[in-house]
Amino acid sequence: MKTSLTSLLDLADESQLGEYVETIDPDRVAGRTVRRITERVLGPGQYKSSRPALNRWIPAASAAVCAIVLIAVAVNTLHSDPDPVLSGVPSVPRDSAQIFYHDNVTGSDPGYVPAYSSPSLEEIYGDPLFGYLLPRKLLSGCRSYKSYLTEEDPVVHSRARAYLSVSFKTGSEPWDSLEIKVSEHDGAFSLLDPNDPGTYRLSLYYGPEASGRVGADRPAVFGCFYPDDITREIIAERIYVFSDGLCKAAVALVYGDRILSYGYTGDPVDPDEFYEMIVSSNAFAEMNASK
Amino acid sequence: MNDEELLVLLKTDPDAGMAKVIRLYAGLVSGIVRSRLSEHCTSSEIEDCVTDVFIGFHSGIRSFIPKTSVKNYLAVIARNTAGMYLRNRLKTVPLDEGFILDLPDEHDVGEEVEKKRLLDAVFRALSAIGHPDSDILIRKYYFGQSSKRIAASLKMSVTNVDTRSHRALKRLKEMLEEEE
Repeated sequence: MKTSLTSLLDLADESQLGEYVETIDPDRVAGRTVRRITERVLGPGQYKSSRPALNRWIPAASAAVCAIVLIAVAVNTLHSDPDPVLSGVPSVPRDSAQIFYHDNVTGSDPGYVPAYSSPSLEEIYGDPLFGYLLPRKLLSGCRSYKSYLTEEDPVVHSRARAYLSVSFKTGSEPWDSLEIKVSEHDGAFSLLDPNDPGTYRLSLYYGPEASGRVGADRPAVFGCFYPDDITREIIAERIYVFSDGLCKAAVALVYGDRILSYGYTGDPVDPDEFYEMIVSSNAFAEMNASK
Repeated sequence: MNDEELLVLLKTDPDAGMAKVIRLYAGLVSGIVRSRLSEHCTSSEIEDCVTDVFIGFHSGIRSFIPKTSVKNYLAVIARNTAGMYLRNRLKTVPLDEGFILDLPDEHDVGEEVEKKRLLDAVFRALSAIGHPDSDILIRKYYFGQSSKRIAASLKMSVTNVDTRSHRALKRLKEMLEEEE
């Protein structure tokens, strides 16, 4: 029997949930909404305000004054300096909202929990599980696009592994992107011989068919390495330029029980720049400092 | 007004009692429904759902046996009604957009019993995990609240909520394995 935590909790009754419901804080609901709901449930004319007329306009007047003050504050904020970002977080233009969308979760895949968060870059870089693995220097032209943080469902999987995905747009085409993913793993990736390319192969990543590119001359696979083995030459080998000019790069690093992967699609990228990005994480810096 | 007085009012003057219930709990019901539906439904659909929750409460009030509070009873109706809206909404999404429909299996009594046993074990584990971590899990996986909303309610950072949730899930898993 396979079931998710959420579908299991579907069976809970109110007596089991009692203590948890007590802590749920209500939404603010406007009086006119309460009126509409009441009249839809009980019929027109059934709503009776609980406040005398004088008490109704005083809060309205107060709200208007507050709104004016808030607008003034907001205008002032817009003209002041932006909030400083946390130390070490790449300065990335945020020309689009942090958008969350993930097929595995918005559908009904029981392998992932349906709750999710779309953290900001500051939150991602401050995340104690994954933040230290993320690059402090990104490819030039990266624009913050979307982020996603969740866990696998503990009832379905043997471990509730956390999973973070953060994406950046790198160009104007829909597929121009840099995706960085970090997840916990259960030790399944044992790279016995780092000199044997066969042991690096994690999974098929981009093939000509999957990418929909006609004339692509070679499929790409996720190159999976220990950070110790990463050199600029290895990175250069993982960057493919297809015959129609599309560039793809895919590399994954195994840090203990974390796996960090980079997936790039877009205009040809400079191997030096890609390498600089990968070695800019705090984890890499600490590793080099301890050598 | 406490539950006892509310139930008396619902019995003696159902319309006035119901209006009182709506006034007292519209915020709670709205919060629960919004948490589950805001990603998928419009504001007007959310309000429809909130209305359906109260209609459901109104029509079932005669059979309501108070083994718990009106608030808890409404919270469960709200959560389940929102779930029904969500399932209906997801069913309208074409399959080629990557959604997999979660169709119910054949009714299996043995499986139901096993799920009930597992559910009891989950609540025992949640009780052992304690507050606020158990609250975070229920808010996330039962009420569908986002980390951001949980963080605001519990006065924590979003990162803290996610870290606590992650660790609590691990503990929950371990405790369930120990029970087996």
